[in-house]
Amino acid sequence: MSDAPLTEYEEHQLVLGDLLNHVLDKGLVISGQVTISIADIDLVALDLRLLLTSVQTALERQNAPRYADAPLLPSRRRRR
Amino acid sequence: MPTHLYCLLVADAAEKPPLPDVSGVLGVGGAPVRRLRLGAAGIDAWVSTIDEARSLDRGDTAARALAHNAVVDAALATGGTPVPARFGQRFADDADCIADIERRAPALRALLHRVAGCVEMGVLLAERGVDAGRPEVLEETRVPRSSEAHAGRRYLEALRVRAHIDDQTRVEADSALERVSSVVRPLVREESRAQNAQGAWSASHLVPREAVSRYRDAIRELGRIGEFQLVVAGPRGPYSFVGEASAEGIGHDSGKLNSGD
Repeated sequence: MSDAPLTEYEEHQLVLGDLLNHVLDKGLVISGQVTISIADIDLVALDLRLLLTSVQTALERQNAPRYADAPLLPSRRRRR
Repeated sequence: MPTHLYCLLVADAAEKPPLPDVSGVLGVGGAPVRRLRLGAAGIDAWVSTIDEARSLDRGDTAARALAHNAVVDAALATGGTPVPARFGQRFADDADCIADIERRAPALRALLHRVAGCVEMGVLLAERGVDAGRPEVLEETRVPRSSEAHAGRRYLEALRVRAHIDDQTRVEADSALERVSSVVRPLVREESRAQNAQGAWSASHLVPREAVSRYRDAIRELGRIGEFQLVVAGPRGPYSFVGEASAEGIGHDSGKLNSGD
């Protein structure tokens, strides 16, 4: 087992990724309908891919390939 | 012009001096943030006008999501607790936004009351992937090329091994989060657990402001549980505890840990 603590950079990336997950997937939905257009959802996914790839890379560098095939966004985001 | 909603605040709290200089806060796309006062509802909505021309430039969604959160942070910095809106909601105009909020005013006031005085803190389980990193496990979980002998069988075996590792991780993560819960229970009001799209586990807690530093200390003291290193996130707006405000009421996926506060 590697006991080396995460670097400050790795922690920052994890926290940033977690924050983005919260902003995009949680919070008050007041209008009763999803207001992000289909095209925008794809772009959210694309942008998240770019950003979270760095998190993914950090994890992979720490020998965590088990998430290599995990979807970048949960399928439930793809609504409407 | 379309309106972007950032968060809601109790109108009374926003009036207390020092009054936040909302006009100095910039939101998504650098748009100035405005405050819509719903006097009868007792709610303030922080919004900005969406510049259609700029919104066509969608190459920076992650940055815009962070800009959205920065406004929620600015609201949090006023001393009140905002109910953060999920990123991406837009209304036809201010009147449309106000109408939607007013329709749900009782439920929204209850929600504002529920999170009052609190912030959201998070604990992330950062995992080094010990088993998955071992060469034999890497080989066992490798997806074979179609040209390899017995590729179909090896593929299914790789899936089975990976599923087993995931199950094991889930059990260990649950156990670690249970330990975290038991330690922070006296400090928090509610808890919400989640696994993000990358498979990482986390717990979010609704923490009274005065307990934030004790919360941090408690997590730091734990440091590591098994192969998981604990990473603290927050304070942030209580995204995990505000759910949806439908016509029927409000739903959320959190669980109460300590209703005695």
